[in-house]
Formats: sequence, structure tokens, C-alpha cells
Amino acid sequence: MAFLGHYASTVEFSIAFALFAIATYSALRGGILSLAGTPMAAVTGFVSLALVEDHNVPIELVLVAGVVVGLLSGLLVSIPLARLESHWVALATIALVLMARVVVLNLDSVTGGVDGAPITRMVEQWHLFTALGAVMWVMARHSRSRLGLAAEAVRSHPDVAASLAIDVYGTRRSLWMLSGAIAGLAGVVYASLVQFLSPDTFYVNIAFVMLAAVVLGGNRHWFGGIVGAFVFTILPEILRRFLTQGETIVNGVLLILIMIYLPRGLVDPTRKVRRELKKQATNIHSGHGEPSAGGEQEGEADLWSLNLTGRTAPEAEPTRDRPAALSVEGIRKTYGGLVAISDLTFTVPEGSVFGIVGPNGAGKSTLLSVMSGGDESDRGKIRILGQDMTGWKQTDIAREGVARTYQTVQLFDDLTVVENIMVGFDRERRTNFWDPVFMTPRDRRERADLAERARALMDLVGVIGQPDQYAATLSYANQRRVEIARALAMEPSVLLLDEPTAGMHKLGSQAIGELMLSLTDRGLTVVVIEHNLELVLNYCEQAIVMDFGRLLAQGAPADCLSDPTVIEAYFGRKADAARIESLVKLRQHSGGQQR
Amino acid sequence: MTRIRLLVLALALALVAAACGDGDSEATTATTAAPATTTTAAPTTTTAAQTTTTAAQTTTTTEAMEEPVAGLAPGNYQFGFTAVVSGAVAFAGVPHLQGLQLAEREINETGYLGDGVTIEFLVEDAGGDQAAAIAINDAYIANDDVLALVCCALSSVAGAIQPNIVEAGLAWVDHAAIAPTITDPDNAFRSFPLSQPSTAAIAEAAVAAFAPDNAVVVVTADNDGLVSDRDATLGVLDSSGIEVLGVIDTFADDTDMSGPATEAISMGADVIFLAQLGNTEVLMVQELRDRGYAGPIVGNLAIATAETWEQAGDTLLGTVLPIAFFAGKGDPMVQDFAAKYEAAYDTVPDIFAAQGWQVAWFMAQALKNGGEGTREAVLEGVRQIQTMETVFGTLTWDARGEATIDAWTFVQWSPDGELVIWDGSAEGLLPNINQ
Amino acid sequence: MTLFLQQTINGLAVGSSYAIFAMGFGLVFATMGILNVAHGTYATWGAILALAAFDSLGVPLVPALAIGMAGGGLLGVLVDQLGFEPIRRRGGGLLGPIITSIGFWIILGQLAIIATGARIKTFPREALPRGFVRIGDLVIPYHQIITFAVALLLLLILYLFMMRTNIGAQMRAVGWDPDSAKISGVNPRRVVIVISFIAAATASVAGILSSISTNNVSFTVGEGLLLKGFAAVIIGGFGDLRGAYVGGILIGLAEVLGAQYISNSFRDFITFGLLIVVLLARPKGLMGDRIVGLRA
Repeated sequence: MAFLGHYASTVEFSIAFALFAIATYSALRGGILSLAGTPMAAVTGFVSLALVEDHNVPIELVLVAGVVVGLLSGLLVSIPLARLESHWVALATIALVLMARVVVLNLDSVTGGVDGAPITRMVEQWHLFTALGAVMWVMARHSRSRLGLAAEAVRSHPDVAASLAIDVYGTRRSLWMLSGAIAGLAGVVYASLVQFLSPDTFYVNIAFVMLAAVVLGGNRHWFGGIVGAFVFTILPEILRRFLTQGETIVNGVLLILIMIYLPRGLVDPTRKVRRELKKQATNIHSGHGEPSAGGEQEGEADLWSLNLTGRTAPEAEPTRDRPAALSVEGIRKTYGGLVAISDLTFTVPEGSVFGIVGPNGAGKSTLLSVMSGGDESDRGKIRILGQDMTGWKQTDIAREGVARTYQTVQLFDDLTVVENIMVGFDRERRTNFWDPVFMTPRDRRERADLAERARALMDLVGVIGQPDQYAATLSYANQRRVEIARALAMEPSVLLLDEPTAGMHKLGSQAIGELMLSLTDRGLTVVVIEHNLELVLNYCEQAIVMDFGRLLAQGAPADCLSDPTVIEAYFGRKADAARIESLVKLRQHSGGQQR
Repeated sequence: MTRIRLLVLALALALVAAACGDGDSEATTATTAAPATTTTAAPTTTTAAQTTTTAAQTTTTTEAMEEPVAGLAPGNYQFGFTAVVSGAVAFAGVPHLQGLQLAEREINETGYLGDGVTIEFLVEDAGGDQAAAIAINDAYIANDDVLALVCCALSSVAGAIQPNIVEAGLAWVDHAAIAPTITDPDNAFRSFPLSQPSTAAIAEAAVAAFAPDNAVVVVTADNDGLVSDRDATLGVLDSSGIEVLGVIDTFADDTDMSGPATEAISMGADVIFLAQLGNTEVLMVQELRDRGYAGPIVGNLAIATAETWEQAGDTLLGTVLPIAFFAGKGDPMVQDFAAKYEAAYDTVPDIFAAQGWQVAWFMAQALKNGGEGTREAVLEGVRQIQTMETVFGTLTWDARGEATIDAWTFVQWSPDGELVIWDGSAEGLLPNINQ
Repeated sequence: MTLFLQQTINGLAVGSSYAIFAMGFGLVFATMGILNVAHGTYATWGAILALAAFDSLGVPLVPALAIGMAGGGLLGVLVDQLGFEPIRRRGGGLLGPIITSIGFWIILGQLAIIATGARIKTFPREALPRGFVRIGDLVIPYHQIITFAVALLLLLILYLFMMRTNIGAQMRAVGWDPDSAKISGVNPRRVVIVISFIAAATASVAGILSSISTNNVSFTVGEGLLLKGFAAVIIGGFGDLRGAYVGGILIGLAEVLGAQYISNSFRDFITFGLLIVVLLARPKGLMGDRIVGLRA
């Protein structure tokens, strides 16, 4: 194509490197820092050598073969490596790059060995543009697809993703395969462009470019890799006009400057938002300006200000008549020598709001973690909805209808409010990989549907904010609400809430209490860790009190809290004991009045 | 803090730029200061006397017999050079460039091509990267001022740039890469002699001199040139009926040879043949001798540099190697080059420097032959080069554009650190430290 | 049998130089979570600076080596403070420091090419310890003995430093949890500087030893060490200095004995295959879990 002039080869290589960079990005968006694209490309590069030179296969078919072989090698590599956490994946794939070279050197009947082998250029420029266009299309269509949202979730909080019934391993495997398919395509394209394959063709150089391009261009958007690849290929061309020896050094300096000053790369969809957030943070710090993006800053609820006008818990039906939604039998959990939970046994009746109370460090959050499968107990049994789920994986427990929130908010910062909630719908989504790519009606319907339901959930939990604003820009209290909405999106039978009202003012807390009750009306069981005793007294049907991992008391909240050991252990000081007594009395009083 | 960091980085950058620039200017002044040893009668000659093998060339040689220089108009004539001054191959690429630029200045200052005629090698660094080399050469091809291309220290890079150059049809001269597929009678030529014939030749000489029963071959397994050298050696050993006890693979970036040396010695061979890259061969010889190996070693040009003696000293005794160029050679052309090179760069030229120097003269000769500044003329001019007196000795080009040398010299180190001729006999081999 | 013993000695010596390099590399990885690709260039620059001190300043050999070591260490501090500190302050991750270190790797590598003119520089042969010990048929060059001894000595010194000194305790604390360490009065920045210095100086020692055993000072000194040191750290487990040491020795032995008895041409395949197997079976390395030292 003449219009590219003598920059033709530069542009062509930019495209090849862009494909490599997108391959890196596809894995990286699921938190997989992998250089395995290089050896995968080596496989397809040498496959294309055989197909083109020995079998005269048309290039279009060779390109398709590259995608397929790449996909299969992605699958193959994922079998052992998808188990590893991100750091270790990086190390293992570096080793793969080095091992691939040894294989290429020794398989000389196929690869030409150390002498290398010439390969005829078969790709035309339209193949390149088509290949890049197709990959861009797939990436764009998947940026917020089911896979895209799952990848985002798995990258930022793998544990949270698992608690949302997302198949973490499966998502990673899909990303490995996608990354492999793109790297495979890149391998065929690159082989055809260099026209000569040697053991060093697919080696550290490529691995370096595929990583650096993504970092330079931006690792939070698929377009970043393309930008990075073009900058990396074209910049040296420009620099060569001024320098004969220094341009490699300029590349080095560039990388360092980017990492220091633009850590998210040139393309960063959330940059503007981040800058604003930062500005606000500084303003708050220096004591002026509007508090937060949500326009709402809620102070810590005053534990002891008594407002008992809220709706109260339905008087307990006899517990034993109702089936247990959740029962914990003799659970014990230790970390090192530290006992976090010690032989805990209790039962949560179905359709109730159940409180867990205790001072900081009592083991409440650990308990929640054990119940949701995030942590494994050392011994004891957990039954949920009649099934023994002891030792189950978190994802499987979540699939059975157990949802949770976290003590410190765990939202996906690079997703909007609605998208965050939509992650919770993953379990019920039916679209496959191809639906978004071919824009099937099913895909369109599903997206519209779920977005609509996500907005409804926003309203239900009372999120104040725009559906399409980034979750990170909400106030803390609203982020908590989004987290509850996300958990509800799973349509759980059991909902585990970890301090849902932290950072909320009184009315907000009450609204959460109301919400919990309304959920039980729908048959949900809610287990809530709460410091706000007022909330516990008002809305929980039953509660347990924990300290040092032990159970201090269980039963109706008022009884629990007035238990002398609880008062002693929990509140320690006499004055507090007096206050809680008065609180309990008042609660009984007002409860009586209402009835 | 931020500003300081930025400043330091900028400073580092400036230092680098300064360092690069500095090297150049220093070299320039040094050259002008260098004793203007004779502008020896043109160091290259185009002789038509050589028997020609193809009909096409017979005609061009006849033309070449007439005075070819006449037509070259004053002006600056440009060639595109692909350098490797970064990355792992810089150990060869840097002297390549230095030799080339030294010759370029020499050619221009002495008016070798006539009054007002200068040549210029455009230099771009590909760092041994295929994609970068392709981009660089495509840009050269698109630049109409570039008359011919000089490239490649690596066969993989040569293979990568080849198709586009063949298509473009301008002359391409390979100054260091050794892949046999490079040369092409249409437009691809090599300016230096390949080493494989010399490897075979010295293997034959060693077999004749030492009459060994068996041998061990050590090779750098990830370098194509050395693997072909290994094959050349194995071919000779095979046809001479000598048992090969083992072939030991080493790798280019190895830093330790104690294991392979121990293995080689343990095989108890009569002769050890080395086909290794750069420093690994020096280490190998050192380890073999230090560990008590007393037999003859047959090496290659990797142990022929001045640094080698500094590094390995008397452990090098008793090792023979074939060589086309070494700075201590009595040849006046070599002496002249070595003196100028040392004056310019403060170091003795090695084989790579000689390759760079040689290709610059080769291109000048081609331009002179062609008689005008067009690609066609230069291509024609390259084709006309049949023999040339070079720092490697007398080179002769065959119809494929492949250079061969009239006679290879076999050398060995002497106890006072000089390369001296080995006469090809067992008696002529100087005793090594274990004898 | 002699052959086996001889190769085992060779493996131990090679492994010792990997081990020295790996100890510093692992220390940085374990305490700061930085996979420092530029670590090899500290080895290169340590050797170059030692030679420069010896050649240009006329410093005697041993002080010149010390200068090289200190120079390499300072280089490490410079790189850390220029490149890693800003990223650390922002809250790190793995990718950022890797990329930054690639940047420094390019810069320092290219500067080494420029500084040496891409040539091999050498110490005068008479300045170096030459000769060997013979025990029966075994030949053990001095430089192998020196490398082996230095590795053990460094292990001991660094281990005692980590376990017995206040600053060592602080280093371990930062490795466990930088935030808590800060709360308990540790000055993380000072600790980080000390770690960077020690790690880079150790790398320089590896580079210097390798360059005096082969009398080769060039821009490639650190490259070979880097990959092997990396493998050593993963295989041995970088949570502990002893893990890095054992990993280095294991790789040295595996390489030399593997080349002798299994296959020469697949040597690197064996090394890095071993790395992956260990990663899958014991992500914290062979010695990672058992030892109280630094955290993974």
C-alpha cells in the first residue's frame, strides 16, 4: 500500500507489536502478568513456517490456524499456571520464554535450529489491518461484557469475585485462551513480516515489547497496548534522526518516566475522575471545598444516641420450629498460634436477621469469612440451607446462594456503579464468548435487562449517585450500599453483611435496618456483624456475642446484651455497663409501647 | 524531590549523549593526528586477469579494464549501514563501526575517490533486532540518496532484511554475517571470507600433524557460524577416520567453562577442537590448560585478539588457529591499518574492526568501478570486483558474490604474547604449560 | 568417581557465584517485592568500577575490589531512590517496579557498553590469585575455592546481620509488613536504602568474583548471573537468605552435573523447567516455608 510510503514496515511492525501487546493486556486484565505470549507466538510462528513453506497453505488459513493453535497453547499453559497467583505467573512465564529458545535450538528439523529458516512473506497489508481490526472489535465488544466484568473482578479482588459466584479459575482460563489466540495470530503475522525465523526471533525482545507497550500505552484499556506498540516502534525511528547510539537509552528513560509520572499509561479511561478525586482529597485535607463526589458525608453514627422509632424485629417465632438457614458446629480457626475462632456453635433461623456482636478482634470477620468459604476452618462443620458445605470452595458456596459484603469496602474501582452491581449477576448470565462479538439479540437483551435490574437494586438499597459514575467516586457510605446491592444481585438466600452501616449517619443506618427486614420478608436470611448496638437491638431477631473467638452469649439481642459476662467482657467499664442496661430497658419499653 | 529526580534523569541522558558525541570527536582528532603513512597506491585493485566464470561478468570485466574512475563527479555519495552498537552483539558491532568510520575518514581525507568526492555511511543501530533492521533498511531503500546497503553482524538479521533488498534490487554487502544463504549473484555480496574453509583446512592440517586417534569437539551451540564450523571439523574428522569421542555444547552467554573443560579432559582425547564464541573459547582454553590438559588445541579467531593474551596469558600456548587477519601480521597494509586504528581508538584492531574497515574500502571500490552515483552503477561496480588486496590478504570473489581467500594463515601464540605462524607440523607447535 | 567429584566441585563453585548473586536479588524481592531486572547490571558495574579503580587510580587490588563493591552498592541505592521509591510511595504492585527495572537495565547495560567500548577488559594477570590445589586427581583452582568461601562467608555475615542487629530486625520487619513496621518506629526509607545497598553490593561481589576468576570485565558479566540468580531465588525460596544460597548451589550442581550426565544442549531447559516445577509444587521455594526469616 503506497500511502504508507517508506514507513510501511514501521507501521506493519507496529501492528504486529500491537497484537502482542493486546495479548498481554487480555491476560493482564484478569490479573495475569504473563509473558507466555512470546513462546505461544513462537509455536504458531514455526507452525506457519511449516504450513507456508512445506504445504503451501493459503495465508488466510494459516492466520486462522495461528489463532487456533495459539488458543490451544493458551489452554495448555493455563492448566498448570492458572492455579498460580499473579507474581508467580510472571516468574513461570519468564522461564517459559527461556525454555522455548532451547526447544527451538534443539528441534532443528522443524525450526531450522541455530541457523534459522527463511519464511516467505505471505501477509498483505490488508491482512494486517483486518487482523488488527478483528482483534480490536473483539476487545471492544468484551470491554464490558460478561467476561470483561468477570475479568475486572478477578483482577482487582479475586476473593470477592469468588464470593460473587464467579468462576475465578474458569475466567482466568478463558483469558489465557484469548491471550493465546491473539498471541498466536501475532506469531503468524510477525513471522511473515520478519521473513526469517531464528532462535532469537521470539525471545526476550518480543517479551519486552509486549510488556512495555502495554505499560506505556496503558494497562487499563485495550486501546493502550496499541498506542504503546506504535509509540515504541515509531519513536526510535524519530530518535534515530538525532542519535546514533543513545536511542536505546532513551527507551529506558522513557519507561522509567512513564512508570513514575503516568503509572497507568497514556490511555487511562479513569484519569479525569482520578484527578478530581485527588483534588477533592487535597481540599478536604486543607479544610475547604466540597466533601466528596457523592455530595454526602456521613459521620460515625453515635452509638448511644437513642432513637427507637424505627420498625422493630418481628417477635421471634420459636426457633426450633423453623429450619436453620445456617448452622455452625464446633468451628475452630487458628492463624499460626493465634486462635481466631474457638469452638463456636450456633444456628441462624431461616428468614431472620441475625446479629453478630463483639469488640474489635473478637473474630467476627473471620467467622464470616469461614461461613462464606473465603477461609477454611481447622475443624467443625458448616451447614447452609441444609447442606454440609464444610470445606467447599467459596465460588460453590456462593453458587448455592450465599452472598457477602466486606468490612472494608471491596468494590471494583475501574467499573461504574451499575457495572459493579452487574458483576453480581454473573451466575445467571447465559451469554457466551461469541454473543457480544456478533452482537446477538440475546446479548443486547441481557445487557439491557441486567442494567435495568442493577438500577432497581441501586434504588432498593438507596444509593445516592449516578448509575454510570465510577464506584470509587462515591462516598464511603454509598460504596457500602453498592456493595450490598452487588451482593443482592446474586439473589442470595443467605446474606452476610460485615458492618454495613459503618460510616453512615443515623437515618442511613436505619434505612439499612429497614432494608434487612424487608429482605427477610422475601425469605432471605441476613447475618450481620454490627457495632451499632441500637441497630442490633432494633432489627435483629437473634444475636450472638463473641470475644476472643469464643461465644459469650446467644439468643434475643436484648438478652444477650444484658448478660453480665457480655457486659463485663464487651464493655469492661462499669459506666458502659450502666449505659447498656438503660439501653436495653428502653428498648424493651418502647418495644412494648409499639405493640 | 520530583524535580530533582527529573533533573538527574535528564543529566544521565545528557551524559550519554555527551559520551556518544565525545567518542566520535575524539576519534576524529586522533585520526588527523595520526601519522599520515603513505597513501599507498590504491589498496584495492580491480584486476580483470582473474578467470571469470560467468559470461555476464566477462563483459563487465572488460569494461573495468578501462579507467573506471574518470566518471565520478565531485559530491557526497551515501551508503546505508546497519550497526549493532547496543545489545549482546555490541562486542562485534562496536569495532565494526569503528573500523568502518576510520576507513571512511581515510578515504575522504586522502581523496582516494578523486577531488571533491566523498563517501558517507549513514549509520543506524538495530541492536541485533530483526524488526528494527527491516525498518532501517526499508528507510534506506526508500531514500534515493542511498546507493547501496551494508548490513549485518547476525545471520538472523541478514535473513530478515534479505527479501526486501532483493526486491528493491540495489546492492547489498554483508560485512560480517555468515549464513550461506546470503549471497546472490543478483545483488547480494560478502566483503569478507567465510571461516568454514579455514576450519576445514586447519582440521586437516591438525590431523596430518598430530595423527590423533580420537578427538573432542566443543561448540557454542546457539551460534550458527560456530555450529557450521563444528560441522566442517566433524566432516574432516569423519573422512580421516578419526573417532570423535564427544561433542560438547556450550552457550554464548556462559560465564563458566569448568564443567565442560572437565568433561572434555575426562574423555581423554588426543586433540581438542574448539568452535566457540568470543570469551567462552578463551575461558575454555584457560580451563583446559589449568586443569592439566597437555595435548594440542585447535581454536578459532576468538582467541586471536590482543585482549585474549591479557586475559589468558600463557595458557594460550599450544593452541593453533586459522586466521585471515591479525594485527601483528607483517603485511604493510595490515600494519598501516593497525597503526591508524590504534591511534584513533587506543586499542589494537580485532577481526571485527578489520571487517568494518574492509567493507568501507569495498564500497569505495564499487563506487569507483561504477563511475557514477546511481544504484545501478554501484551494483555494477560491486559485480566488477573480482579480487582485492585487503587486510585479510588477497580476496577473490566467485560468481555468487562469495569471497574466498588465497591462503589461510595458521598461527599460535608465542611465549612473549605475539601471534606467530604455525607451520602445520607437530614440531612447529610451541610447548604448552603442561609439557 | 574422580570425574563425578571434580564436576561436583565445579558445580559447587559455579553455584556459589549464583548463590552470592541470588542472596541480594532475593533480599530485594522478599523485603520490597521488586523483581529487579537491573540487578545483573550492578554485578557488571561492580566489576567495571573495581577495574577502573585499579587501573586508573592505581589502587591496590583488594581495596579496588572493595571500591567496586561499594560503588555497585551505591548504584543500587541510586536506582532504588530514583526509580523505585516514587512507585513504592504510590503503593507499588509487581508490574511497575519490573518495568522501571527494565528501564534501568537498558540504561545501565548500554552505559556499560559505552564505558568499556564493548570490549573485554582485564586485570593484569599477575595481580590475580592463580594456581590450584591438587588432591589426588582432583584439580581445584584457587578462584573456585575463593568463590566458594566468599559465598559461605557472605551467607554467614548477612544472616547474622539480619538476625542479630537492630537494623537487620528492622529489615525483617519491613519484609513482614511495611505499614506495621512504620508504626513501630522503623524508618522504612532508611531500611530500604540499607537493603538496596547490601543487595547491590552483594551483586557486585558476584560480578567481581566472576570477573577475576575468568579475568573478564565486560558488559556481559551480569547477564549470565541474572537468569541463574533468578532461578536460584525461586527454587530455593527467597523468603530466606539460606534459601537463595541453597537454590544457587542446587542450580550450579544441576547445570554442571546435568550437562555431564544428562544433556548438554537441554541444560537451560532443565534449569528453568525445574523452576516451574518448584513454583507449582512449592510456590515459596524449597526452603520457603520452614524457616523463620523473611516473608514471602
